Amino acid sequence: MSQYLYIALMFVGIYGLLSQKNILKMIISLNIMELGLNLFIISTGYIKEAKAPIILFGNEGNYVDPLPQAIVLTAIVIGLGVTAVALMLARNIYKTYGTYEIDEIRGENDD
Amino acid sequence: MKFVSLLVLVLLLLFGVVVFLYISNNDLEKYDNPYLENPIESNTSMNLISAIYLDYRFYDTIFEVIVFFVAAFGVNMVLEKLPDSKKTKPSKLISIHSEEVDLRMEIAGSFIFTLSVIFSIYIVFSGHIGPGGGFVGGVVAGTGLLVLSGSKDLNRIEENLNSLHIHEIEQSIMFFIPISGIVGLLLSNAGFSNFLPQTTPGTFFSGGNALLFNFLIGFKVFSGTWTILYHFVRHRGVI
Repeated sequence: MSQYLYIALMFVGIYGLLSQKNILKMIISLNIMELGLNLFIISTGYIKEAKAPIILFGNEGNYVDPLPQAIVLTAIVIGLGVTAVALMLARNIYKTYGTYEIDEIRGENDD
Repeated sequence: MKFVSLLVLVLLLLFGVVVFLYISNNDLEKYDNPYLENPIESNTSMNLISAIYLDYRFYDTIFEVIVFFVAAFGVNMVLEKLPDSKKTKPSKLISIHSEEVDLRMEIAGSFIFTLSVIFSIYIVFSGHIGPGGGFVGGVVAGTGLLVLSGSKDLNRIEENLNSLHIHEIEQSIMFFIPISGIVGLLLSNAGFSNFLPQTTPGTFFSGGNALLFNFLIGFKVFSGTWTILYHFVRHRGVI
């Protein structure tokens, strides 16, 4: 049932991406969307009363599906890279135009 | 404009219906995963997630590392040409171009840095036995280096790392991974097959190539994290 909550978190992120006009707020919305999606992917491998897929703790034969967790590990690192590049681009935009608001960004010959 | 927003609404509704059907039809009692017939015997890694992303699906991890490398490289390439931000207020916690260092940070910074490096080495080399792995260990070490910049000049740390040729070693790691694939191909009949020993699960030399790949990925993530954090600290205070 908590899967609906993760999907709702993802839609919060999508709403933020569509409605915000500040670039930094858009990057934060992107991260929220990614977090909801990661939680949803992890929750697809959940099994009732199963433990973490590390056999160290004596739970052999009774662990959740480790495949979504491995995929989400990939997605987290790629999300870190995407966020870093997005912040770098935002810094570059600030240097060129002096603002983070996409309303106020105008080209030289825009009319 | 109205047509576009209507289209977006319809697509979101379709997506919601698909998700609803998926969640209501999904019985979470069992799963079929062909890799996990007997993971301990086939991979000898106690951490099944490590067994998947360092052995069964290693191509996925290779391209993930390439994406992270490209991100760190792009941040470095663009931000090193920009001058430091003029609006930067002098901070007591992180010192740039200043000789004044807060005493608390000078004591705590070196201490936390030492602790985080030891912890990072531990979780990098025990990633196939318990929780941990290369990505986590690299991020811990890179963040510890950022804490160290509270007690030393940030640019001097970067110069020290450059004199140790950390970045050249990091870029050459991209060539170690294909080399290890070729070595696996020569010693066995498949690329990226395990050539390190696979002894009893739970011991240090188990899990095959997970030990080597955890070390390489950990070093790479450490260097990339430090590059990104260094440039972001230099350009702080413009929000």
